[in-house]
Amino acid sequence: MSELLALGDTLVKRAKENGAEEAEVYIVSKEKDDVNIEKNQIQIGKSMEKEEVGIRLLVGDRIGFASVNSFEKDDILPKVKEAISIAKTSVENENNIIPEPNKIENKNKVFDPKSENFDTEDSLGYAKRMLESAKDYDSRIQISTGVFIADVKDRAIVNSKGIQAQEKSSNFTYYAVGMAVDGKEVSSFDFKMDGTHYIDEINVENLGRSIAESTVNSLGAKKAENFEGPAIFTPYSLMGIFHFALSQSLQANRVQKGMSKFKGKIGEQVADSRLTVRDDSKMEGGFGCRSFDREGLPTPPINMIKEGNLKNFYHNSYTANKEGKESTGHASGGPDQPPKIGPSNLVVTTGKKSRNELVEEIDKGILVNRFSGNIDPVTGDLSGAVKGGHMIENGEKKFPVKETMISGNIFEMLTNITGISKERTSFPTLMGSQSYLFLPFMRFQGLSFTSD
Amino acid sequence: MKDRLSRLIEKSGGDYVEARYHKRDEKLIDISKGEVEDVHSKLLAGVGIRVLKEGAWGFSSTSKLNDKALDKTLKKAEKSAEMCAQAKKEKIEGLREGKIAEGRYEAEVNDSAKNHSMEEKMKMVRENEERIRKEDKISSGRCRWHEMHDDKFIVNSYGSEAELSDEKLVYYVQAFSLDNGERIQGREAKGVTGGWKDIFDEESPEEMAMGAVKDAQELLKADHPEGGRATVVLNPELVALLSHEAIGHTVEADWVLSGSIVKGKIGEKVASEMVTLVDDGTATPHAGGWVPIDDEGSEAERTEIIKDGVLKNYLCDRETANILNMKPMGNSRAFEYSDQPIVRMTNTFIDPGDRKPEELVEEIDDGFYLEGAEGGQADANAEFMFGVQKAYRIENGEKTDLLRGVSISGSAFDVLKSVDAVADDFKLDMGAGYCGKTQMAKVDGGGPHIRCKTMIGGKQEGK
Repeated sequence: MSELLALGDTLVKRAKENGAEEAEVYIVSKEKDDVNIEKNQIQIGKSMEKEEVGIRLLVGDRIGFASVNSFEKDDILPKVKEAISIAKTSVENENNIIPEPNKIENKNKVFDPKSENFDTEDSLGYAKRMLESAKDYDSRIQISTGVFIADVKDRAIVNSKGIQAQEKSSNFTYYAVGMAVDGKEVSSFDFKMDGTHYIDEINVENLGRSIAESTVNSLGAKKAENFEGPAIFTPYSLMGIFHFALSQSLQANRVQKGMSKFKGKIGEQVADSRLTVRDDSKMEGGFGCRSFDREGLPTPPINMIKEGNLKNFYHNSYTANKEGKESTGHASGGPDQPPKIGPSNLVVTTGKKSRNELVEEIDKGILVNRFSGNIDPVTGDLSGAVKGGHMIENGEKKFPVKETMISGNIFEMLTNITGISKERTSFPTLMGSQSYLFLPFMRFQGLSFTSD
Repeated sequence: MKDRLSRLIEKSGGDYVEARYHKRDEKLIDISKGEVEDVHSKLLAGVGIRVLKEGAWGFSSTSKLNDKALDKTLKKAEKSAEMCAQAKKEKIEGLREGKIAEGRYEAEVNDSAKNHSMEEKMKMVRENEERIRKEDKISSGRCRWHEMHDDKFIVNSYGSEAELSDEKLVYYVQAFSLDNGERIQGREAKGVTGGWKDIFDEESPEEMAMGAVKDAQELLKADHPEGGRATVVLNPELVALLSHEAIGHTVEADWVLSGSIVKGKIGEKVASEMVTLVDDGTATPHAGGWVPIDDEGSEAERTEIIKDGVLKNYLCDRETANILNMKPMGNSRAFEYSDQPIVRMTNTFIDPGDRKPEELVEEIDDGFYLEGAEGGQADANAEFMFGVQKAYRIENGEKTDLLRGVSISGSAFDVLKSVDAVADDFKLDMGAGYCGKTQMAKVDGGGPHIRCKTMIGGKQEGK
C-alpha cells in the first residue's frame, strides 16, 4: 500500500474509532512550479510543495467535514475529532452517503513521465515564449497578467466502504490576460487559457498569438446601432453560457432544488437538433480526463443533450442516492471542502460549416469575441456587453464594436441555433479547475443589441 | 516563529528578502432549501519566502515549518530569482520604502466568533434559512456563515518585524421568488473585521433574513424600467462597486504599467471636483478590508487616488512605487501563505460631501434612486456594467415606483465627471465580498450617496 493510501486507511479507522459511522479521506500531494507575467514582463518565479487532507464523515446521517494542509498525524487527528463534532451539530439528512466502490479502469494517461524532471526553469522558458509570441505578433499587445503553471499532483481516496484509489497526474496550465494599447487608445482586455497533461502538447506560442490577435483587432472600435439579429459566438465567449449556465442547469443538485430550467425535461427537446453535448472523461487531449472522481468513482462517458434532446444530469453519490440511482461520477472539488458536482470534459459536437461560412451567410449581425455581463443560471436571462466584437454586414466583418450591450435568454438561444462550426477550441473552465471545455463557434438568431 | 524567520533574513544572499508565516483557521456553513450545501473547518498554515536578487523576484512556499524545510524554501526562492533575472529584460532597479511595520497589530474584536460554538452557528444558519422559506411567495432561501481567523508574522530585510492577528466574518442571506420564469432575489449581506457584536451591531441575523424576504416580496410586484440615459442617486453599496470595480482596478500600479486608461494622467482632472476617492486599509476599525499592514511590511495609509476631481495617486507596492515615484501605502497583499504579494485594494470609497442625502433626491424631476449591487463587470478602459438590486423611480423630487431588473453601464470616469452632488452620509458596504485577481482578497468599499448621470438598462417584459 502506498504512503498516501496508508495514511487514508489510518484516518478512516480513527474516524470510526472516534464515533463516525462512515468516513472518507481525500489526500492530495502537489509540487508546483510556475512563472508569472506582469506588466508585459516576466515578473516572478514560484515554487510550492503542498500536502492537504480532507475528511468527510457521517455521524448518524449527519455530515461533518474538516481539512488541514499537513500529513503530520498531530495536525490531522484533531481535525478528525473536529469533523465529528461538526457532524453532531449538522442537519439530519437520510440521503447523505459515503459511496460503495465501483470498478475503476486506471487507463487514463494523465501523467507524463517526462514531467519528473520539469522545474521552474522549464516553466520560465514556456512563459517567456508565450510573452514573446504575443509581442512578435504585434508590439501593441500588453500582457497585464499571465502565468505558466506546471504541477505534479498525486491524489488518493480511501473510504470506509472499501474505496481505495490513487492517481498521479502532470498538469500544465497557462493563461494570458492582455489589452492592446495604441497611443491613447486602450482596447478591451481579453484572456486566453489552455491546459494539458503532456509536455509535447503545450502550445504557448499559439496562445500568445491568439491573445495578441484578438485584442489588436478590437482597436478602433465604434458603437454599433440598435438592432435585433443574429450573432456568432466564439468558443471563449460561449464559456459563460456553457460552463456557468448550461452545466449548472445540468447538475442534479440544482435540478432537485428546482433551480434548473431542465427540471422534469429528460427526453424532451430543449435545443436545436444541431446541438449535441456530451461529457467524456476519456476524451483525447482533454485536460478533464481522470480515472475517478472526487468520491473515488469512475466517470463513464455520457450524453447530456443529444441532437437537442435532454438525456442526463450530472450526479454525485448524494444526488444519485436521493433518486435511488447510481452516481454518474461527477463529484468534483478539492480536499478542502465536501464534494460538489462538475463536468469532466464537456464536449460540444462540431457542425458542418466553417467559421467563415457562418459569417458569410449573415446580412447583418455581430461576432461576439467575449461576453462580459450577467447570466442568471436559473432563468437563463443574459445581459451584458459584447467585448472585442465585430459588426458583420453582407457576409463580411466590417468594424470592431464597443459599448454594445446584448440581451437574451440562453435557453431560448439553444433553440435558436442556426449554425455550428467544424472548428473547435478547448480550454479549462478556470485556472486550477479540472473541468475542461471543447467548444465550436456557434450562431444564434434573434438577439437584441443596444448601443446608445 | 518570528526568530526563525529573522534567521532566514540574515542568511539570505538576496538584495531584499521577506518571510511570512500565515495561519488561517476558517469555518463555513452554507444551507439552502434545508440541505447542507457546504460545511467545513479548514486549517491552512505555512511560510512564504520572497527574494529580490539580480533585479528579479523569486518566491517559494512550504507547509513544513522546521529549519531544514525553511532553508530549502529560501534556496528555491533565491534560485527562482536568479533564473528570472536571466530572462528579464528590464531589471527591477530598486524598491521604495513605506512606513515600516513593527510590533503587534490586532483587530478590534468585540466578542470573537470563537466564543460561539459551531452548534450555535449551525442553528442560526439553519433556522434563518427555514424562516425565509416559510414566508409567503418565497420559493427558496439560502443562508451562509463564513469566518476567517488570520495570524501572521511578517519579517523582511527592510526592518519590518510585525505580527498581525485578525478575524473576518461574513453573514449572507438570500430569499428567492419566481414570477413567470423570472427569478427575483432579495439579499442581505454583511462582512466585517471584528467579532459577533460587530457583525450583528445594526441588525440581528433574523432581521437580516426578514429584510431579504421583504425585498424579494416587494420586487415581485415591481415593474421593469425603460432604458436610456438618466440622472440617478447611487447608494453607498453602488458607490462601493463603482469605486472598486470600475475605477479602483484601473489605478492599481501593475495595471497602470500595463497601459490602463489612467496611465500618464496624474495631475489631470478625471472627475467632478466634488469627488475625492480614497483607498485606506484602516478606514474604519471594522471595515471588511481592514489591513493595517501589508505583506511587504508597509503600514496602511490613506491614499487619495482622486483629490477634488484630480488624479493624484496610484495604488502601489514597493516595486511599482519605485518605478512611478510614489510611496507604498499598504496595498501589497497575499491571500494565503503560498501566494506572493501583489497590488490590491483594501477599503475603497468616496469621501462624504456636505449635502443631505434627501436633498439629492428632492432636486430631481425625473430620474432614479438606485440601491444595492447585483453582480457586475468592468474593463481595463473603465467601461462597466453593474446589476442593481432595487431601483426607485424619482418623479418631481419624490421616490415613487419600485423597479427591478435594472442595470447601469457606461464609462466610470464619465460617470464621475457627471457627479453634481455628494451627500454627507458615509457607509462601507461591500465587506461581504471578495475581489479576485489571480488570488482572492477581502476588500470593502463605500462612501456617501452621490448624484450622477449614467446609462440605465432594463429587461423587456416577458424576457
